[in-house]
Amino acid sequence: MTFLPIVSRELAVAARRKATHWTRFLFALAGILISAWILAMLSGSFPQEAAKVLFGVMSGMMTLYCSLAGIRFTADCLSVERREGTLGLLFLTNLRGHDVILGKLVASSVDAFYGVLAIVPVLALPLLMGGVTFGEFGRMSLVAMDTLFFSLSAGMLISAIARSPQSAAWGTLLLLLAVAVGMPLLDSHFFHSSGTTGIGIPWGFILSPAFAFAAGFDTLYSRYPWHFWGALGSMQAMAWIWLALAAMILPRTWQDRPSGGAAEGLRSRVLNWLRGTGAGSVGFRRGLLDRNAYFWLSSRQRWRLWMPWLVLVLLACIWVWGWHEFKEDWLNPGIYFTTGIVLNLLFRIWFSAETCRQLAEDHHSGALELLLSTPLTVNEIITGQFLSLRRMFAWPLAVSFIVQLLLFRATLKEVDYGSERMAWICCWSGMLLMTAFDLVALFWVSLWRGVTSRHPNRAASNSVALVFLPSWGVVLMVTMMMVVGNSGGGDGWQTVMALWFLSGLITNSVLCVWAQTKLQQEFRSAAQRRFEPPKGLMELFTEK
Amino acid sequence: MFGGNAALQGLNLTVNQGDLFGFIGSNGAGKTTTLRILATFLSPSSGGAKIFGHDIVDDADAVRSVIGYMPDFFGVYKDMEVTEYLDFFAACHRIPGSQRDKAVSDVLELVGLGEKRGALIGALSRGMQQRLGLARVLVHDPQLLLLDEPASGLDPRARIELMAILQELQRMGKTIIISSHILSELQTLCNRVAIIEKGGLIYCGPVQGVQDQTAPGKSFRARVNGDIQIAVELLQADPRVGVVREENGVLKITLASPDLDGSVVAETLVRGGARLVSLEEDALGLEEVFMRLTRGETQ
Repeated sequence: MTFLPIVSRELAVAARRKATHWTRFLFALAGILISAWILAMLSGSFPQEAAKVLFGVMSGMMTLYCSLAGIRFTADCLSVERREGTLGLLFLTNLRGHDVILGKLVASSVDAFYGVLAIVPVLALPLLMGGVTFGEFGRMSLVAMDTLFFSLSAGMLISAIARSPQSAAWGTLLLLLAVAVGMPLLDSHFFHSSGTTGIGIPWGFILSPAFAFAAGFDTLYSRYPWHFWGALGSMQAMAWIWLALAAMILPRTWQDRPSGGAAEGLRSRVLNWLRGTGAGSVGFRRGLLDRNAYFWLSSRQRWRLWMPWLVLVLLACIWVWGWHEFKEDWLNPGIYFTTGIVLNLLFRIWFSAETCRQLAEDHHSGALELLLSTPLTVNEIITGQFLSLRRMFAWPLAVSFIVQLLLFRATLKEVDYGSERMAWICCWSGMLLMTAFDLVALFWVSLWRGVTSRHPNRAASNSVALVFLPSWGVVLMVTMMMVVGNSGGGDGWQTVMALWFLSGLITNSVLCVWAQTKLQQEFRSAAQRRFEPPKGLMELFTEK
Repeated sequence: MFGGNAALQGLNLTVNQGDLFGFIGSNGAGKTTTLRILATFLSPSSGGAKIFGHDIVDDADAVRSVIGYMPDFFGVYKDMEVTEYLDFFAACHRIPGSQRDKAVSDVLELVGLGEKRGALIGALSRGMQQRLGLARVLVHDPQLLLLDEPASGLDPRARIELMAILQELQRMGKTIIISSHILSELQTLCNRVAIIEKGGLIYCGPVQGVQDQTAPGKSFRARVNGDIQIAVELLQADPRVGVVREENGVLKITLASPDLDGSVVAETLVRGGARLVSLEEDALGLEEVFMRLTRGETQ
């Protein structure tokens, strides 16, 4: 008998896939470009200093990527099989829970693993420049791999429980935030690090990738080596516990539950509560249906309307906590601007995900085919989706913009002189305007990706990448050229800012036209490509 | 065209109003593609089709309002109630709100789901979901139904009930094009059939006429008392008899011309001294005809 049969099969499949090789190449390329940009920015510094900054930024980015990899790669890998009814086929064979869990873990994470592996040699560049020791390099590589495993295992555990792609992604994010951010916050601010583990690590930090990352640098490692090894070991142990839990849970959750009975009644009651069964709710929904059938379809679950407000309240709580904790230190332009960035980034990603959700799900399930055989036109579908998004996001976005305008005003009150004031004005206006333009572009691109993609979460991440990456790529390249050519001068940031804004505008305009044309001309033909094999990475941009 | 392959080639079909038209072919023969083209879901790379005078490309909106299309595999919104689902599709078909309730109730009664109106779709059995799919197709009272394998995955009882509903719909004046792999049911259900293979038409016409495509004359089954070999030799010596073979003590005879009937067999055997016990016409089943036609016996 072959040991772990799914693992060997999935590795063979991954070896034949083009994406496996492209991912490695793109990760290495991105690593080189970002490193070159950082080095260009630090061209006036001593090589050792530059190497330290480069190493810190690159290893930090890598740890952050590894921390979130579970959401992208494993969160939906088992739940998708459960939705499609294929999970049961595996359990009808002699395979056991751990066979399936390890097999799916390998299958889903091979791209993520290869990506990190491709970055590691780039991380070694500062080693050649001096200022970074071989020990630091080795420890950071270990932190990245350990964090990746930790995050992917969290995704596996949630995937063994969840059903929908959205609940899988959000569940994984919440689990990771709970152990990596929530526990340290609880420990340091509510219990004041009263208890420690046997090796001196505050208990709340023991599962935090950020703590392992910080403990890996020579300055801390030379004094508290066990902090590093302890955090690394505990993350590794927790990852295995999560995998073991997933392996135990999965064989008990793959079967369909019998309909009827208490479980069905409870499910029915929850669904009724979520969509509202009162006369007012029913009448309101009927009104939506009369106005635009797709509008009704996309916004029939009223709980979705509450989510943006819930997130705004949560962010407000975090902000108030920061103010209470750090008093006047919290009230500075840096925090204001960071708040704006977080709000805008969150809403843009969420907006994209919501835009393509219904279409991607309907495309995947085959329901889109039924819709297109009715007199419902493509324009009505687009309008319905727009109305649904407007209903969900218009007021939360308006509140977010008003809050940002207030923060902008507060920034200007804090900085009342010359070039710095002008810099903040440019940054705030640029960010607010670009957010508005991005939302328009994301609407069109996400609609198109929703029709063409096989997975709602991937449709959203592809859309966000298409809208964001070109303008930021231009910024990277221009900054490097300016620094290398020494043509930036003191006001170089203005040129970079203008180019970022201009390239963003051009990119958004081109993407809007492209996506609109595709939607108008190829919506129907794209909707019936449900059973075609997935496209390669390069075909994504050249598909007809 | 799919890539470089032609999914359909020279397919020329006419379906009359009120027909219950069976569409038969192997997997990959082009049945689903044809139905998808008729449902305006795919545009033909060349050629065209008209449904009740409306061109499927130039007048697609009008076509969609007179057809009801049920794919072989269709997604349902499992978190919706049965009435919500039908109400939604009725709205997609632009039925005014004041008329939707009645339309939904009527089709639910027609397909026998009246008692399930408040049930969640996810809790329905496969057969009930298939009935719901049929109700969806009927909710806007279309003139033409395009049903792609509507009985696949159903148990015998559900299949029989579905076929009864289709016969009722035909009596109501609907035109129905149905593709299925269960040919014995199509044989009793349909008045006309088309057989396609590799995207091309092999036969189109009445169900009865399909047998003429495979055999030159009528076929019979006969039983005799005594030496069966003598009976075989008697029949083989008669030029009016085409093929004679013996299977498990039963003579299987095909006459040489379609103008001849069973009296030829009886006369030959009795005159030759054989003791004829029984003689019955052996009508070819649609399944056998299909197998012969698509295995190259007549191509």
